[in-house]
Amino acid sequence: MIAEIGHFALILAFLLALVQGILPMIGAARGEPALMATARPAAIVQFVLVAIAFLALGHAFVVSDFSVELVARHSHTLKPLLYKVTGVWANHEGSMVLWVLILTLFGAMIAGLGDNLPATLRARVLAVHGLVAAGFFAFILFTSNPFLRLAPAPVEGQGLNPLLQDPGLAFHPPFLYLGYVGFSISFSFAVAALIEGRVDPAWARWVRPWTLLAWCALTVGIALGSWWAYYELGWGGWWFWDPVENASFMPWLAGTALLHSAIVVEKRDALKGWTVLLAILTFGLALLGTFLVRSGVLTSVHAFATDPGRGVFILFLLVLIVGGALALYAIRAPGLRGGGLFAPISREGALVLNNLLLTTAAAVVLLGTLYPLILDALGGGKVSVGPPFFEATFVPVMVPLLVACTIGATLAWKRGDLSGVLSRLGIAAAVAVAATIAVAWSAGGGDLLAAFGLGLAAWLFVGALAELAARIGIFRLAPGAVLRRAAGLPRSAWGMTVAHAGLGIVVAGVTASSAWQTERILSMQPGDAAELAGYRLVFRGVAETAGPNYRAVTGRFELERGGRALAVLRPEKRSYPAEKSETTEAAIHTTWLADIYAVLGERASSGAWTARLYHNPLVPWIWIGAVVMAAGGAVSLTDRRLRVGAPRPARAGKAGEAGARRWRRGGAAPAGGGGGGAAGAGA
Amino acid sequence: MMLFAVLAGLALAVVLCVLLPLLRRQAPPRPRAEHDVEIYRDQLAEIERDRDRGLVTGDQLEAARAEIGRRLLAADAARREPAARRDAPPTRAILAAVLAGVLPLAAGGLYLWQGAPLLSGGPASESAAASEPRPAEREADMATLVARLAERMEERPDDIRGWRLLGRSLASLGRYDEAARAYGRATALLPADADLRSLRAAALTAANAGTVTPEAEQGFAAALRIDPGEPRAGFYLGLAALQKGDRDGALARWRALEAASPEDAEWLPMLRRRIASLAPGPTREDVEAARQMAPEERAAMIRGMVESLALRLEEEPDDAEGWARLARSYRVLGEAEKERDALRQAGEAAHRTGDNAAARRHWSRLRGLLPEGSPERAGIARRIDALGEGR
Repeated sequence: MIAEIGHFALILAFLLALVQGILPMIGAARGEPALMATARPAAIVQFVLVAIAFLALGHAFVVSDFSVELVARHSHTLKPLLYKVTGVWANHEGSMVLWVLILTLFGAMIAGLGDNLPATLRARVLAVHGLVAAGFFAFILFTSNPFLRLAPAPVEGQGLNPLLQDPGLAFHPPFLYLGYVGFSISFSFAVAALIEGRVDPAWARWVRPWTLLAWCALTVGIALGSWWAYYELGWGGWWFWDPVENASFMPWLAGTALLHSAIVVEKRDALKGWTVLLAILTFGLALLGTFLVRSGVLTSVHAFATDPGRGVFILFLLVLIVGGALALYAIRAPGLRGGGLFAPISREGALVLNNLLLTTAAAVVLLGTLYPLILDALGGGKVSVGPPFFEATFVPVMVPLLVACTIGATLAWKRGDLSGVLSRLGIAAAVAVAATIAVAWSAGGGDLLAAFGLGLAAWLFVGALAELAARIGIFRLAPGAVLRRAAGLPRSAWGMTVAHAGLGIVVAGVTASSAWQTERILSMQPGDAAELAGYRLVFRGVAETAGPNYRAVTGRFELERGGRALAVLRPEKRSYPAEKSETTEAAIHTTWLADIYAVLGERASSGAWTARLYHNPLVPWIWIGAVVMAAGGAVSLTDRRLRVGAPRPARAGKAGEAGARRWRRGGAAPAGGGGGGAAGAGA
Repeated sequence: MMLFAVLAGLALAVVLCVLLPLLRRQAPPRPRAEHDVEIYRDQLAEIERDRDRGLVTGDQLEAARAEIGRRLLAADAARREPAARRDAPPTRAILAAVLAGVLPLAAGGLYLWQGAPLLSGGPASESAAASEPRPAEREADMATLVARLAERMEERPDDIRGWRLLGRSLASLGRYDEAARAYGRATALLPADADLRSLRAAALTAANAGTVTPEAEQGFAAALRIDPGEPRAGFYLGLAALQKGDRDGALARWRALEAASPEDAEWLPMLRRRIASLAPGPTREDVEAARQMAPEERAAMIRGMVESLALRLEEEPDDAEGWARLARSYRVLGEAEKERDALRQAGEAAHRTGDNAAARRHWSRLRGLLPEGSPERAGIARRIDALGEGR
């Protein structure tokens, strides 16, 4: 019965989303407050309904109600409870329910927190949000309904893909979806602004924190996904330029651009049209990623759905949402009032450069991802666009971006002083050059690119700290004054420093692990030893072990260095009888400066085992750096200005008059406002 | 019915949440320029705060103030926008009525198309339990199924899997003779299968109340010749040796099987108990060695022997003298509780085997160990008296 309640709740949510998409839109166009007022309860109740549906589905998984077809196909009574719960979204239908859960959660948050938005803007934002949600509800109900039932119910389920039975992956989709779906808010705001025909100052204040939230979640989601690929797939790498990875990386690049351009809108009232376009493109890329992954166009662990009907539906949705928004943009964008011109050497100039480079990078990834598909569709045969393409095209775009990142963050708004900035960054430049030379020298002059990469990492990291040091006056002021300044610095400035420093850490990890990875593939008899980058691994044979729902062959490798035992590595080969498949579990010993990574391969007839051993220098830094970046975003999110979004209005009811009174009082009182006005008139 | 009530409640809540704002009088929204003005004022205040903290100074401060001031003036000019129109109540009432009708109907229609309201569901364990028959019924069902299978096998005598299934089913019903015959038919079809041969011999053994007959022994030996690692045959040949009084032979076979078994084999615990029950007692060399040991080593050795004795007695609980020896060992180790327990068991064993004199001896010792006036002591005294009556 609980599953049926969930099903009905989902249907009601669909209808409510339609109401929310239509009535407030008409109300905003005709100036009818009653119609606009339906948006808020519709958004909130819709979230409650989806939450009911989600909990009902979760209940079916936890108690193993195999009369629900989805549970029978993807669960098993012997599965550990954690994976019964995460099994809800480890399949196509359930993950779409999670998707709309997050979507409606954000809708409810706009409705609940949107008091300070102009009424028509709020109504239109919620209406656009409702239409997007309605599209997804229709997709779920008509092509991927999770609540379809089986009669008679099977006694046992078919289990979950063992690759997905892993804590790293269990929490990767929710974060990824928070990111993807978070960009839907920026999208709704962008389309609403286009319909309104103007970009309010409140607009930028709203878009930025939501973009930031989505960006943080997406960063964590991608990092979790790459970490999972690193230790679970057992290939020793952490990023494969797989189309599925690219699908999440493209919205990240575009979202990073959006994050930076939204700052310009807020601070300088400029770049509005571009920011609106970016908001549309970012969500469009998120949808494209969903389409690529879900349509079965790409085959991978993520391709839960290989039903062409679903692919066509998502493609239709994609064309409707993104195409519609872009058409609207073409009609309305010329009418958006732009800001003034600005100097190339200024913070906003640097942010424009940042946007150009990031969107170029996103376009490069998009090209590399779609080219094989398009070629195949046109009958041009199968080609594979792999890491060599991306390394040759993506890296040259990123290098100037990283170089400019530190400089741009130090420039002042409006009119920057490049020579002053460079003198401030002298220390960072010196450290970067020193690091480059030191690395090149110690590597015997061989790997100049890697040396340059580490120099770049040092530039980003030290540059971020140097910029902070200059702002709070370390080396210039008394310690007390420094502390006061540090405390007074806006959180968003702290967030920027932390995020840029985190980027430096990521760059170091990426460079070192790709340049200096050591790989050894050996056939080992028990008792054999292997040398690996100064370490020694002794193979002590294998043992059979049993887990809750699998059996495993566990190898035992003793890791030592200089005759001193460090750790025992136990890589596993697991076989899951219910799912009839096998997985490899890599064993990893990390020193934080490097990982020793062991994978147990096949057994040869001679009794020897194939072992793949890797030494990955600095690889943990990639994920540490990503988490630091996300933490920077989170710090920035706690900034008072971002958190509030916009000042609270006087209480509703007599709002109009109260607001007018405040304005009259405000217009006369603050000297700053008057002076500013006068100066503005003079300028 | 319960389900429909819940669904109707949900639908009602949804309709209400849309209708209430439609039917209520809504205050006109604030002009949007007021929002703008508020934001600009907040930005100005922000700049002042930054100035107080020393974050902006001089030109920067003036430029920022100028820019926001310019926007503020523009917003002020835009404030004279026409106010939002009041909507006419009749259209709203019609709209509300339409929605109140359409929403539940559409939801109900979609649900009846896609849903399955009459299907029961529930946890796998419950639904499985509901569909599973009670044990007695199951046995009856099983008997008819086996009879049907046996009939079918007469029609298809070449079906090895069928014979194997029939053998297993008959064995699970306790019809070992027939099971051995079914396995025999399968063996005739597939002579090189160690598993089948060993299954047949095991069924023969079971049919003879656990005695390994010469015919069964031959079967096991044949199985081992085909597959030296066949565990069942290894075990039963050990049992056969034991039944012939060859303790060492049995022990050798079982130890070999123990060594060859994977650590999680389901028969290992049973096998280990058997081995422990056979393990020889302390020899003269052991005692000699024990004398030269350090006290804690000696205690460990004694404890090890005591444990294997206790394990053996679990297998052969009728060995009254064994229990008495165990009680003495516990006395040496200072474990009074266990000593009393072993003495009680010794008396029980002697009583079961009809040796009432021995039972009286063991229980009298036990009575001496129990405190005066305790209920246990009174109970044992009554048992001893009962022995006297039986004499």
